[in-house]
Amino acid sequence: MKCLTGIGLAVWIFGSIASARTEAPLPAWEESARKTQEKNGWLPGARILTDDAETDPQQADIPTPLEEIKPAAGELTENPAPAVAIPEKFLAAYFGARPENYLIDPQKLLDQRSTRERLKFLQGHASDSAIDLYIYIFNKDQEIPGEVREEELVERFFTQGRPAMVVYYYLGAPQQAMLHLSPTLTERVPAALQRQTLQSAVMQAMEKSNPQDQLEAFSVQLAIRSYWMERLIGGGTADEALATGQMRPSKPVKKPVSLADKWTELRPVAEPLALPCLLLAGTLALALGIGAWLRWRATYRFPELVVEPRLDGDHAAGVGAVIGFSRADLPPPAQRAQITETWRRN
Amino acid sequence: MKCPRCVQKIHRAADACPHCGFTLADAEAHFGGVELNLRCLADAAGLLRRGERERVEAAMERLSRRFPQLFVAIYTGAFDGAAELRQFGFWLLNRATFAELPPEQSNAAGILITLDPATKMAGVTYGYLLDPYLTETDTFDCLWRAHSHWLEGRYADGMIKALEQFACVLRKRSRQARRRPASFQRKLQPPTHGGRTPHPPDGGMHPVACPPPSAEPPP
Repeated sequence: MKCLTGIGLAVWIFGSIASARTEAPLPAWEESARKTQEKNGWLPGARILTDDAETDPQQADIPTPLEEIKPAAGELTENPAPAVAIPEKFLAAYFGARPENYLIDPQKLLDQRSTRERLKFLQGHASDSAIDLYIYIFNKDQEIPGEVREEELVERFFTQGRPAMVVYYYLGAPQQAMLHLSPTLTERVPAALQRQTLQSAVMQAMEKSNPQDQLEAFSVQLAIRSYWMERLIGGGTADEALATGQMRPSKPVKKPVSLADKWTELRPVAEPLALPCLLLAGTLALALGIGAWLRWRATYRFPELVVEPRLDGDHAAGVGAVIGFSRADLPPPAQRAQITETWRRN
Repeated sequence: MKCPRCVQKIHRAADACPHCGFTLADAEAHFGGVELNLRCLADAAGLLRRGERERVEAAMERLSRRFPQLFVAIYTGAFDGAAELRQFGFWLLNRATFAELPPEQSNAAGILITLDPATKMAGVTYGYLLDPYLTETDTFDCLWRAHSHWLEGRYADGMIKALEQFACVLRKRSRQARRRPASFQRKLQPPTHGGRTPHPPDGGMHPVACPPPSAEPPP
């Protein structure tokens, strides 16, 4: 019996699975009912219960991508102009020998006034500083010929003489400037400080718009920064120079003046006044002392007026104040005994 | 000018207090009628140690040197309240003889400070010489200076401070007396209305009655 029941259950399960695997047909409208619904204008399930693929209206609303807007011709960065070679006639003046002036501008790119000012500045710097500053001026689109090796040039021309900073400056493009140091400086000044020095000068120059002003700012900042190189030569440390974030030299430290030096300075003025001042101070002190002594020695007397005796007292009847000091929380006037106990008891 | 017992104002030449009838005889009846010999610094209460005593005596000496007419006496003892303290001062300054003083020096030139550590009270009495010059307020100022010291039990310091303040007040009064003697003499002129005690501003109406003159003085 149990075996038959099991077989029947198994047949039923397999039959259910087999029927589930066959897809049930979609429900369909009866013709009359469909027409009635269509008259109402809306047929429920019309979109779902159909085999026809219908276009999605939302998808139809997707806008077409915009046309690519191309930058205007004026907005496009111009291609860097091709470098212009330095005319050959000036090459000798630039690179032929050690320059005689601190400003090397054989092409006369600077006007006369600027040339005069820069030259004056550089000469002034040379007189104040232990490091000379040489500036070669090129046009911003010019290019130093390939056969000229700047480092080698500096080594050759600036090995002798005072230490020097040599700058190749492109007028109107300070960012292209190059800095080289004479061999005596290269040994002592670390590359980081050189880089920092040039960067600082370029930043100062870039704040100006006029090429002449740019050159002025550049050279001034370079001269300021040369202070740290000068200190390195004098025995300072590179860390100290690099640590100066402001990139400006501190104010010169005043040499401490000793008291002896001050006295030496003031002595001619002080000596004639010393005696009168001493006399005056002595007199003042003496007067104050005598005054204090007299006050200490002073005696005071009262006129002896005739007072009629009171209350049979031969000598005294002057009753002064009586004060209590039993309570620290009360002020003295509150502890003044002004009423006799006789009245209090009454 | 006040009565030492009832602290009411009295006439400057009154033989007895018109309010309570107090006289020196009442004080003698209470404290004794004998003449008393004392040192200027009589520490009956035993408040001062040796070093303190010397300091206080030096301060008293300083004041006497600056005011040659005057002397200062200090008495510490036990009293039964402020009224007795006042009466004792009045009695002592009239009856005592101070050992350090020359015979010709009168107690009328004295300033007596009495101090009771038990009831914690201190008072001042002064002689006739200072009657025109000192006021009750002046003496209170001197005691005020000592108050904080006495509160802490530093009696010697308090006494010295009080004496220093006395010196300040007396110096000021001495100068005033030299400049305007008439203003102090006026205080001693006899009253203009027949020798009667002038009525106080409130018409003499006091909230409590005075005890009759024949009544026994308070203990």
